[in-house]
Amino acid sequence: MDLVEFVDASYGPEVAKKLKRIRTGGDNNQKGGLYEDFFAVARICAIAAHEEQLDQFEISSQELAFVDDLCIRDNSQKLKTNYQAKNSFGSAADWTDEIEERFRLQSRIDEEYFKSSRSCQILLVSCEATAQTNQRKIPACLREHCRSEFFPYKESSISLILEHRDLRQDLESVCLSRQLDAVDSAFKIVLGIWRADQHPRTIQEVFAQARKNSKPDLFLGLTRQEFAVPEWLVKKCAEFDGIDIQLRGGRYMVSRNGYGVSLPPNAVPHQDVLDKISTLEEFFRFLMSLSIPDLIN
Amino acid sequence: MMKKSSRKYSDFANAAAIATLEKLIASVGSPTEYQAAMRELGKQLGKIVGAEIPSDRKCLVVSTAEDADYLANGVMESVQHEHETLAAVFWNNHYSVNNSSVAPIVHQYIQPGFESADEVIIIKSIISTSCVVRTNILFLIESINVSRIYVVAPVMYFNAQEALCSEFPPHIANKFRFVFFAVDEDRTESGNVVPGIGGQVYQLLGMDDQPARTGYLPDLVKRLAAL
Repeated sequence: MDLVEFVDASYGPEVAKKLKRIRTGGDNNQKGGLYEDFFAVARICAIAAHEEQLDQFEISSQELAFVDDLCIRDNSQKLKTNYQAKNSFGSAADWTDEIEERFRLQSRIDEEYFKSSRSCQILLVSCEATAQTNQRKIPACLREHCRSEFFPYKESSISLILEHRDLRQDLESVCLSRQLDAVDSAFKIVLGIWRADQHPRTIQEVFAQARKNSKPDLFLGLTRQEFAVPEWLVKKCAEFDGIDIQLRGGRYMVSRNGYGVSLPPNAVPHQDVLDKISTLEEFFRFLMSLSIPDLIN
Repeated sequence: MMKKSSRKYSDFANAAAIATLEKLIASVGSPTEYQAAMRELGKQLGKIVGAEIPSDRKCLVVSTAEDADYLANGVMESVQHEHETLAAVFWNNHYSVNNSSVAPIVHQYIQPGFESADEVIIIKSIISTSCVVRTNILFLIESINVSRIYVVAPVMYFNAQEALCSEFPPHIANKFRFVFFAVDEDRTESGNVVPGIGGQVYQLLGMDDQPARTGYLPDLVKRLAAL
Protein backbone atom coordinates (compact mmCIF):
# COMPACT_ATOMS: atom_id res chain seq x y z
CA MET A 1 0.00 0.00 0.00
CA ASP A 2 1.52 3.37 -0.93
CA LEU A 3 1.28 6.42 1.29
CA VAL A 4 -1.68 8.05 -0.50
CA GLU A 5 -3.65 4.82 -0.27
CA PHE A 6 -2.71 4.54 3.38
CA VAL A 7 -3.87 8.10 4.11
CA ASP A 8 -7.08 7.56 2.11
CA ALA A 9 -7.88 4.37 3.99
CA SER A 10 -6.86 5.66 7.41
CA TYR A 11 -7.98 9.32 7.42
CA GLY A 12 -10.40 9.62 4.51
CA PRO A 13 -10.36 10.71 0.84
CA GLU A 14 -10.45 14.46 1.64
CA VAL A 15 -7.24 14.21 3.65
CA ALA A 16 -5.61 12.17 0.88
CA LYS A 17 -6.58 14.83 -1.68
CA LYS A 18 -5.10 17.51 0.54
CA LEU A 19 -1.85 15.59 0.81
CA LYS A 20 -1.55 15.42 -3.00
CA ARG A 21 -2.27 19.18 -3.27
CA ILE A 22 0.51 19.93 -0.79
CA ARG A 23 2.90 17.90 -2.89
CA THR A 24 2.00 19.88 -6.01
CA GLY A 25 2.49 23.17 -4.17
CA GLY A 26 5.81 21.94 -2.90
CA ASP A 27 6.99 21.15 -6.41
CA ASN A 28 5.98 24.62 -7.61
CA ASN A 29 7.83 26.38 -4.84
CA GLN A 30 11.04 24.46 -5.35
CA LYS A 31 12.67 27.13 -7.49
CA GLY A 32 12.24 29.89 -4.95
CA GLY A 33 13.61 27.90 -2.09
CA LEU A 34 16.81 29.78 -1.23
CA TYR A 35 15.77 29.93 2.40
CA GLU A 36 15.02 26.21 2.54
CA ASP A 37 18.21 25.37 0.63
CA PHE A 38 20.43 27.40 2.96
CA PHE A 39 18.76 25.78 5.96
CA ALA A 40 19.23 22.30 4.48
CA VAL A 41 22.93 22.95 3.96
CA ALA A 42 23.21 24.27 7.52
CA ARG A 43 21.61 21.05 8.82
CA ILE A 44 23.84 18.87 6.63
CA CYS A 45 26.92 20.64 7.99
CA ALA A 46 25.66 20.46 11.58
CA ILE A 47 25.16 16.70 11.34
CA ALA A 48 28.58 16.26 9.73
CA ALA A 49 30.24 18.35 12.43
CA HIS A 50 28.56 16.71 15.41
CA GLU A 51 27.68 13.13 14.52
CA GLU A 52 29.88 10.10 14.02
CA GLN A 53 27.81 7.79 11.80
CA LEU A 54 26.95 9.93 8.82
CA ASP A 55 25.59 6.92 6.94
CA GLN A 56 22.75 6.72 9.47
CA PHE A 57 21.40 10.19 8.68
CA GLU A 58 19.21 10.63 5.62
CA ILE A 59 18.03 13.93 4.20
CA SER A 60 15.43 14.73 1.57
CA SER A 61 12.99 17.39 0.46
CA GLN A 62 9.49 17.54 -0.97
CA GLU A 63 8.59 14.03 -0.01
CA LEU A 64 4.90 13.22 -0.13
CA ALA A 65 4.06 14.54 3.32
CA PHE A 66 2.00 17.07 5.26
CA VAL A 67 5.23 18.64 6.53
CA ASP A 68 7.30 18.48 3.40
CA ASP A 69 10.02 21.14 3.05
CA LEU A 70 12.77 19.06 4.62
CA CYS A 71 12.95 15.63 6.19
CA ILE A 72 15.86 14.30 8.21
CA ARG A 73 15.90 10.70 9.37
CA ASP A 74 18.24 9.39 12.03
CA ASN A 75 17.92 5.71 11.15
CA SER A 76 19.99 4.53 14.12
CA GLN A 77 17.34 5.92 16.48
CA LYS A 78 14.33 5.71 14.15
CA LEU A 79 13.95 9.44 14.60
CA LYS A 80 12.23 11.43 11.86
CA THR A 81 12.28 15.23 11.83
CA ASN A 82 10.21 17.22 9.35
CA TYR A 83 10.41 20.93 8.66
CA GLN A 84 7.91 23.33 7.17
CA ALA A 85 9.76 26.52 6.25
CA LYS A 86 8.13 29.95 6.13
CA ASN A 87 10.37 32.75 5.01
CA SER A 88 8.08 35.57 5.99
CA PHE A 89 7.84 38.36 8.51
CA GLY A 90 4.06 38.39 8.01
CA SER A 91 1.19 36.17 9.00
CA ALA A 92 2.26 33.48 6.52
CA ALA A 93 4.75 32.31 9.15
CA ASP A 94 2.17 32.07 11.93
CA TRP A 95 1.17 28.91 13.69
CA THR A 96 -2.38 28.33 12.43
CA ASP A 97 -5.09 25.74 12.77
CA GLU A 98 -4.17 24.45 9.34
CA ILE A 99 -0.50 24.02 10.27
CA GLU A 100 -1.56 22.35 13.48
CA GLU A 101 -3.73 19.88 11.61
CA ARG A 102 -0.93 19.11 9.15
CA PHE A 103 1.56 18.61 11.96
CA ARG A 104 -0.84 16.30 13.81
CA LEU A 105 -1.41 14.22 10.66
CA GLN A 106 2.29 14.06 9.90
CA SER A 107 3.04 12.87 13.42
CA ARG A 108 0.51 10.08 13.00
CA ILE A 109 1.91 9.11 9.60
CA ASP A 110 5.45 9.01 10.98
CA GLU A 111 4.36 6.81 13.81
CA GLU A 112 1.81 4.58 12.06
CA TYR A 113 3.16 4.35 8.51
CA PHE A 114 6.89 4.94 8.86
CA LYS A 115 7.04 3.26 12.28
CA SER A 116 9.30 5.96 13.66
CA SER A 117 10.01 5.57 17.34
CA ARG A 118 10.09 9.34 17.59
CA SER A 119 9.08 12.09 15.20
CA CYS A 120 9.30 15.83 15.36
CA GLN A 121 7.52 18.50 13.28
CA ILE A 122 9.15 21.90 13.12
CA LEU A 123 7.75 25.17 11.79
CA LEU A 124 10.87 26.99 10.63
CA VAL A 125 10.53 30.76 10.39
CA SER A 126 12.83 33.62 9.43
CA CYS A 127 11.52 36.00 12.10
CA GLU A 128 12.81 35.35 15.62
CA ALA A 129 9.81 37.00 17.31
CA THR A 130 7.39 34.92 15.23
CA ALA A 131 9.18 31.75 16.29
CA GLN A 132 8.68 32.68 19.94
CA THR A 133 5.02 33.63 19.40
CA ASN A 134 4.41 30.41 17.50
CA GLN A 135 6.03 28.41 20.25
CA ARG A 136 3.54 29.84 22.75
CA LYS A 137 0.61 29.01 20.43
CA ILE A 138 1.48 25.33 20.14
CA PRO A 139 -0.89 23.34 22.39
CA ALA A 140 0.85 21.80 25.37
CA CYS A 141 -0.13 18.31 24.27
CA LEU A 142 1.78 18.78 20.99
CA ARG A 143 4.92 20.43 22.31
CA GLU A 144 6.78 17.18 22.73
CA HIS A 145 6.57 16.57 18.98
CA CYS A 146 6.05 20.02 17.47
CA ARG A 147 7.88 23.30 17.76
CA SER A 148 8.72 26.49 15.91
CA GLU A 149 12.35 27.42 15.30
CA PHE A 150 14.11 30.47 13.97
CA PHE A 151 16.61 30.38 11.11
CA PRO A 152 17.68 33.68 9.55
CA TYR A 153 17.03 34.46 5.90
CA LYS A 154 20.03 35.87 4.08
CA GLU A 155 20.36 36.48 0.38
CA SER A 156 23.95 35.30 0.19
CA SER A 157 25.97 32.51 1.76
CA ILE A 158 28.59 34.99 2.96
CA SER A 159 26.02 36.98 4.95
CA LEU A 160 24.61 33.79 6.42
CA ILE A 161 28.00 32.38 7.41
CA LEU A 162 29.08 35.67 8.94
CA GLU A 163 25.90 35.98 10.98
CA HIS A 164 25.16 32.38 11.93
CA ARG A 165 27.81 31.44 14.47
CA ASP A 166 26.79 27.78 14.71
CA LEU A 167 26.92 27.32 10.95
CA ARG A 168 30.34 28.98 10.81
CA GLN A 169 31.67 26.69 13.54
CA ASP A 170 30.22 23.60 11.88
CA LEU A 171 31.80 24.53 8.56
CA GLU A 172 35.12 25.20 10.29
CA SER A 173 34.96 21.77 11.84
CA VAL A 174 34.13 20.08 8.53
CA CYS A 175 36.88 22.02 6.71
CA LEU A 176 39.47 22.04 9.52
CA SER A 177 39.88 25.70 8.64
CA ARG A 178 38.80 29.01 10.09
CA GLN A 179 39.36 30.79 6.78
CA LEU A 180 36.20 32.48 5.54
CA ASP A 181 37.07 31.86 1.88
CA ALA A 182 37.49 28.13 2.48
CA VAL A 183 34.27 27.64 4.46
CA ASP A 184 32.31 29.71 1.94
CA SER A 185 33.59 27.61 -0.95
CA ALA A 186 32.70 24.45 1.00
CA PHE A 187 29.20 25.81 1.63
CA LYS A 188 28.73 26.54 -2.08
CA ILE A 189 29.86 23.05 -3.05
CA VAL A 190 27.41 21.38 -0.64
CA LEU A 191 24.65 23.76 -1.74
CA GLY A 192 25.24 22.79 -5.37
CA ILE A 193 24.96 19.09 -4.50
CA TRP A 194 21.79 19.66 -2.50
CA ARG A 195 20.16 21.69 -5.25
CA ALA A 196 21.06 19.17 -7.91
CA ASP A 197 19.22 16.33 -6.20
CA GLN A 198 16.95 16.37 -3.15
CA HIS A 199 15.90 12.75 -3.18
CA PRO A 200 16.63 10.83 0.02
CA ARG A 201 20.31 10.17 0.59
CA THR A 202 22.63 9.91 3.52
CA ILE A 203 24.84 12.70 4.81
CA GLN A 204 27.77 10.41 4.08
CA GLU A 205 26.71 10.27 0.43
CA VAL A 206 26.36 14.06 0.29
CA PHE A 207 29.91 14.55 1.55
CA ALA A 208 31.34 11.78 -0.60
CA GLN A 209 30.06 13.79 -3.56
CA ALA A 210 31.25 17.07 -2.01
CA ARG A 211 34.79 15.74 -1.61
CA LYS A 212 34.71 14.54 -5.21
CA ASN A 213 33.53 17.97 -6.41
CA SER A 214 36.02 19.86 -4.27
CA LYS A 215 39.38 20.62 -5.92
CA PRO A 216 41.32 20.66 -3.66
CA ASP A 217 39.46 18.66 -1.02
CA LEU A 218 38.09 21.26 1.39
CA PHE A 219 36.40 18.67 3.59
CA LEU A 220 39.39 17.08 5.29
CA GLY A 221 37.82 17.59 8.72
CA LEU A 222 35.58 14.64 7.89
CA THR A 223 38.47 12.23 7.54
CA ARG A 224 38.98 12.48 11.30
CA GLN A 225 42.54 11.35 10.89
CA GLU A 226 45.56 12.36 12.91
CA PHE A 227 47.81 14.64 10.92
CA ALA A 228 51.56 14.47 11.39
CA VAL A 229 54.02 16.27 9.17
CA PRO A 230 55.69 13.56 7.04
CA GLU A 231 59.34 12.92 7.67
CA TRP A 232 60.40 13.55 4.07
CA LEU A 233 58.95 17.06 4.28
CA VAL A 234 60.56 17.91 7.63
CA LYS A 235 63.89 16.62 6.34
CA LYS A 236 63.80 18.47 3.04
CA CYS A 237 62.65 21.75 4.60
CA ALA A 238 65.56 21.54 7.04
CA GLU A 239 67.96 21.87 4.10
CA PHE A 240 66.83 25.49 3.60
CA ASP A 241 66.64 28.52 5.88
CA GLY A 242 63.45 30.24 6.95
CA ILE A 243 60.91 27.57 6.02
CA ASP A 244 57.88 26.98 8.18
CA ILE A 245 55.40 24.07 8.00
CA GLN A 246 51.85 24.44 9.26
CA LEU A 247 48.70 22.38 9.06
CA ARG A 248 45.93 24.33 7.34
CA GLY A 249 42.63 22.90 6.24
CA GLY A 250 44.04 19.40 6.65
CA ARG A 251 46.82 20.21 4.17
CA TYR A 252 50.43 21.09 4.84
CA MET A 253 51.32 24.70 4.19
CA VAL A 254 55.02 25.19 3.56
CA SER A 255 55.91 28.88 3.86
CA ARG A 256 58.78 31.24 3.43
CA ASN A 257 58.67 35.05 3.57
CA GLY A 258 54.91 35.10 3.07
CA TYR A 259 54.88 32.59 0.20
CA GLY A 260 52.84 29.55 1.19
CA VAL A 261 52.41 26.39 -0.86
CA SER A 262 49.85 23.85 0.28
CA LEU A 263 50.13 20.18 -0.44
CA PRO A 264 47.82 17.28 0.19
CA PRO A 265 48.39 15.18 3.32
CA ASN A 266 48.94 12.02 1.33
CA ALA A 267 51.65 13.35 -0.99
CA VAL A 268 54.59 10.94 -1.12
CA PRO A 269 57.30 12.00 -3.58
CA HIS A 270 60.09 9.78 -4.87
CA GLN A 271 63.31 10.15 -2.92
CA ASP A 272 65.42 10.43 -6.06
CA VAL A 273 63.31 13.40 -7.20
CA LEU A 274 63.75 15.05 -3.80
CA ASP A 275 67.49 14.45 -3.87
CA LYS A 276 67.83 16.37 -7.12
CA ILE A 277 66.27 19.51 -5.62
CA SER A 278 68.95 21.92 -4.49
CA THR A 279 67.48 25.45 -4.63
CA LEU A 280 64.57 27.11 -2.88
CA GLU A 281 62.88 27.88 -6.18
CA GLU A 282 63.15 24.27 -7.31
CA PHE A 283 61.78 23.12 -3.98
CA PHE A 284 58.73 25.39 -4.04
CA ARG A 285 58.03 24.61 -7.68
CA PHE A 286 58.19 20.93 -6.80
CA LEU A 287 55.82 21.40 -3.84
CA MET A 288 53.33 23.21 -6.10
CA SER A 289 53.46 20.31 -8.54
CA LEU A 290 52.36 17.90 -5.79
CA SER A 291 48.97 19.66 -5.60
CA ILE A 292 48.21 19.51 -9.30
CA PRO A 293 46.66 15.99 -9.41
CA ASP A 294 44.12 17.06 -6.76
CA LEU A 295 43.01 19.97 -8.93
CA ILE A 296 42.57 18.33 -12.28
CA ASN A 297 41.30 14.81 -11.57
CA MET B 1 26.58 31.21 -30.24
CA MET B 2 28.42 34.47 -30.10
CA LYS B 3 26.14 37.47 -30.04
CA LYS B 4 26.99 40.80 -31.58
CA SER B 5 29.25 42.63 -29.15
CA SER B 6 28.40 45.87 -27.42
CA ARG B 7 30.78 47.82 -25.22
CA LYS B 8 30.39 50.84 -23.01
CA TYR B 9 33.31 52.80 -21.65
CA SER B 10 33.38 54.15 -18.14
CA ASP B 11 34.20 57.73 -17.15
CA PHE B 12 37.69 56.49 -16.20
CA ALA B 13 38.46 55.53 -19.80
CA ASN B 14 40.37 58.33 -21.51
CA ALA B 15 41.66 58.10 -25.08
CA ALA B 16 44.88 56.39 -23.95
CA ALA B 17 42.98 53.70 -22.01
CA ILE B 18 40.67 53.01 -24.95
CA ALA B 19 43.69 52.74 -27.25
CA THR B 20 45.36 50.27 -24.87
CA LEU B 21 42.20 48.16 -24.67
CA GLU B 22 42.16 48.04 -28.47
CA LYS B 23 45.85 47.14 -28.48
CA LEU B 24 45.12 44.33 -26.03
CA ILE B 25 42.55 42.78 -28.36
CA ALA B 26 44.87 43.29 -31.31
CA SER B 27 47.59 41.38 -29.41
CA VAL B 28 45.60 38.16 -29.19
CA GLY B 29 47.92 35.42 -30.40
CA SER B 30 51.09 37.33 -29.44
CA PRO B 31 51.65 36.68 -25.72
CA THR B 32 54.57 39.10 -25.33
CA GLU B 33 52.57 41.99 -26.78
CA TYR B 34 49.51 40.94 -24.82
CA GLN B 35 51.54 40.92 -21.59
CA ALA B 36 52.83 44.42 -22.37
CA ALA B 37 49.31 45.71 -23.08
CA MET B 38 48.09 44.25 -19.78
CA ARG B 39 50.97 45.90 -17.93
CA GLU B 40 50.12 49.22 -19.58
CA LEU B 41 46.46 48.88 -18.62
CA GLY B 42 47.63 48.21 -15.07
CA LYS B 43 49.69 51.40 -15.06
CA GLN B 44 46.72 53.40 -16.31
CA LEU B 45 44.34 51.89 -13.76
CA GLY B 46 46.94 52.30 -11.01
CA LYS B 47 47.25 56.01 -11.75
CA ILE B 48 43.50 56.46 -11.25
CA VAL B 49 43.41 54.45 -8.02
CA GLY B 50 46.61 56.00 -6.68
CA ALA B 51 45.22 59.49 -7.25
CA GLU B 52 42.17 58.69 -5.11
CA ILE B 53 44.16 57.47 -2.13
CA PRO B 54 45.92 59.92 0.24
CA SER B 55 49.69 59.41 0.09
CA ASP B 56 50.02 58.47 3.76
CA ARG B 57 47.89 55.36 3.26
CA LYS B 58 49.46 51.92 2.96
CA CYS B 59 48.09 49.92 0.02
CA LEU B 60 47.81 46.15 -0.40
CA VAL B 61 47.62 45.16 -4.07
CA VAL B 62 45.96 41.76 -4.41
CA SER B 63 46.02 39.72 -7.59
CA THR B 64 45.79 36.24 -9.01
CA ALA B 65 49.03 34.47 -9.95
CA GLU B 66 48.32 34.91 -13.67
CA ASP B 67 47.87 38.67 -13.33
CA ALA B 68 50.78 39.24 -10.93
CA ASP B 69 53.56 40.00 -13.42
CA TYR B 70 51.40 41.92 -15.87
CA LEU B 71 48.25 43.78 -14.80
CA ALA B 72 49.15 43.87 -11.09
CA ASN B 73 52.74 44.75 -11.86
CA GLY B 74 51.52 47.80 -13.79
CA VAL B 75 49.11 48.82 -11.03
CA MET B 76 51.86 48.53 -8.42
CA GLU B 77 54.26 50.54 -10.52
CA SER B 78 51.81 53.46 -10.54
CA VAL B 79 50.51 53.15 -6.98
CA GLN B 80 53.93 52.86 -5.34
CA HIS B 81 55.00 56.25 -6.72
CA GLU B 82 53.03 57.88 -3.93
CA HIS B 83 52.23 55.06 -1.53
CA GLU B 84 53.82 52.37 0.52
CA THR B 85 52.63 49.28 -1.36
CA LEU B 86 52.49 45.63 -0.41
CA ALA B 87 51.48 42.67 -2.54
CA ALA B 88 49.35 39.57 -2.18
CA VAL B 89 49.06 36.87 -4.84
CA PHE B 90 46.63 33.97 -4.86
CA TRP B 91 46.62 30.77 -6.86
CA ASN B 92 42.88 30.10 -7.23
CA ASN B 93 41.53 26.93 -8.75
CA HIS B 94 38.52 28.35 -10.57
CA TYR B 95 35.92 25.89 -11.82
CA SER B 96 32.19 25.30 -12.06
CA VAL B 97 30.29 22.45 -10.52
CA ASN B 98 26.51 21.96 -10.25
CA ASN B 99 25.94 25.34 -11.93
CA SER B 100 27.98 27.03 -9.25
CA SER B 101 31.33 28.72 -9.64
CA VAL B 102 34.02 28.27 -6.97
CA ALA B 103 37.65 29.37 -6.82
CA PRO B 104 39.34 27.95 -3.71
CA ILE B 105 42.80 29.31 -2.94
CA VAL B 106 45.48 26.65 -3.27
CA HIS B 107 48.71 28.61 -2.73
CA GLN B 108 49.34 32.17 -1.64
CA TYR B 109 51.87 34.92 -1.30
CA ILE B 110 51.10 37.61 1.26
CA GLN B 111 53.75 40.16 1.94
CA PRO B 112 54.60 40.33 5.64
CA GLY B 113 53.01 43.38 7.28
CA PHE B 114 49.85 43.18 5.15
CA GLU B 115 47.67 43.38 8.27
CA SER B 116 48.54 47.06 8.65
CA ALA B 117 47.32 48.01 5.15
CA ASP B 118 44.83 50.89 5.02
CA GLU B 119 43.49 50.23 1.53
CA VAL B 120 43.04 47.03 -0.45
CA ILE B 121 43.28 47.07 -4.24
CA ILE B 122 41.94 43.87 -5.79
CA ILE B 123 43.19 43.37 -9.34
CA LYS B 124 41.65 41.10 -11.96
CA SER B 125 42.13 41.07 -15.72
CA ILE B 126 38.38 40.66 -16.22
CA ILE B 127 35.48 40.44 -13.79
CA SER B 128 32.66 38.28 -15.03
CA THR B 129 31.19 35.93 -12.42
CA SER B 130 33.32 37.71 -9.79
CA CYS B 131 33.90 34.37 -8.08
CA VAL B 132 37.68 34.77 -7.84
CA VAL B 133 37.42 38.34 -6.57
CA ARG B 134 34.84 37.29 -4.01
CA THR B 135 37.07 34.46 -2.73
CA ASN B 136 40.15 36.64 -2.46
CA ILE B 137 38.26 39.36 -0.60
CA LEU B 138 36.94 36.73 1.80
CA PHE B 139 40.48 35.52 2.47
CA LEU B 140 41.55 38.98 3.61
CA ILE B 141 38.46 40.57 5.07
CA GLU B 142 38.83 39.21 8.58
CA SER B 143 42.57 39.85 8.81
CA ILE B 144 42.66 43.51 7.93
CA ASN B 145 40.61 46.55 8.73
CA VAL B 146 40.54 48.76 5.67
CA SER B 147 38.45 51.77 4.80
CA ARG B 148 38.10 50.96 1.11
CA ILE B 149 38.37 47.94 -1.14
CA TYR B 150 39.15 48.96 -4.70
CA VAL B 151 38.02 46.40 -7.25
CA VAL B 152 40.07 47.11 -10.34
CA ALA B 153 39.81 45.56 -13.79
CA PRO B 154 40.20 46.76 -17.39
CA VAL B 155 36.87 45.14 -18.34
CA MET B 156 33.81 44.05 -16.40
CA TYR B 157 30.70 42.14 -17.37
CA PHE B 158 27.67 44.42 -17.18
CA ASN B 159 26.11 43.10 -13.97
CA ALA B 160 29.29 42.01 -12.21
CA GLN B 161 29.39 45.06 -9.96
CA GLU B 162 25.86 44.55 -8.61
CA ALA B 163 26.38 40.81 -8.37
CA LEU B 164 29.54 41.17 -6.30
CA CYS B 165 27.97 43.75 -3.97
CA SER B 166 24.90 41.56 -3.44
CA GLU B 167 27.10 38.71 -2.22
CA PHE B 168 28.40 40.74 0.72
CA PRO B 169 26.62 42.27 3.69
CA PRO B 170 26.30 46.07 3.39
CA HIS B 171 29.05 46.86 5.92
CA ILE B 172 31.53 45.18 3.56
CA ALA B 173 29.92 46.01 0.19
CA ASN B 174 29.85 49.69 1.13
CA LYS B 175 33.66 49.65 1.10
CA PHE B 176 33.82 48.60 -2.55
CA ARG B 177 34.94 51.12 -5.13
CA PHE B 178 34.99 49.86 -8.70
CA VAL B 179 37.58 51.18 -11.14
CA PHE B 180 37.33 49.85 -14.72
CA PHE B 181 37.53 51.07 -18.29
CA ALA B 182 34.88 49.10 -20.14
CA VAL B 183 31.68 47.19 -19.57
CA ASP B 184 30.63 44.43 -21.96
CA GLU B 185 27.13 43.02 -22.11
CA ASP B 186 27.74 39.86 -24.09
CA ARG B 187 29.05 36.47 -23.12
CA THR B 188 29.60 33.35 -25.19
CA GLU B 189 27.89 30.13 -24.18
CA SER B 190 31.16 29.01 -22.62
CA GLY B 191 31.12 32.13 -20.44
CA ASN B 192 33.75 34.32 -22.12
CA VAL B 193 32.85 38.00 -22.11
CA VAL B 194 32.80 39.51 -25.61
CA PRO B 195 34.91 41.35 -26.63
CA GLY B 196 36.20 41.32 -23.04
CA ILE B 197 39.95 40.82 -23.00
CA GLY B 198 39.94 38.68 -26.13
CA GLY B 199 39.37 35.26 -24.58
CA GLN B 200 40.84 33.15 -21.77
CA VAL B 201 43.59 35.15 -20.08
CA TYR B 202 45.87 32.16 -19.37
CA GLN B 203 46.46 31.22 -22.98
CA LEU B 204 46.57 34.86 -24.08
CA LEU B 205 49.37 35.52 -21.60
CA GLY B 206 51.22 32.45 -22.87
CA MET B 207 50.29 30.05 -20.05
CA ASP B 208 48.98 26.54 -20.59
CA ASP B 209 46.29 26.68 -17.92
CA GLN B 210 45.47 28.23 -14.56
CA PRO B 211 48.68 28.74 -12.50
CA ALA B 212 47.45 26.43 -9.71
CA ARG B 213 47.19 23.64 -12.29
CA THR B 214 50.61 24.23 -13.86
CA GLY B 215 52.80 25.32 -10.94
CA TYR B 216 53.43 28.71 -12.55
CA LEU B 217 55.49 30.97 -10.30
CA PRO B 218 55.34 34.73 -10.99
CA ASP B 219 58.57 36.71 -10.95
CA LEU B 220 56.94 39.11 -8.47
CA VAL B 221 56.65 36.32 -5.90
CA LYS B 222 60.14 34.99 -6.63
CA ARG B 223 61.53 38.44 -5.95
CA LEU B 224 59.46 39.30 -2.87
CA ALA B 225 59.84 35.89 -1.23
CA ALA B 226 63.57 35.93 -2.04
CA LEU B 227 63.57 32.50 -3.64
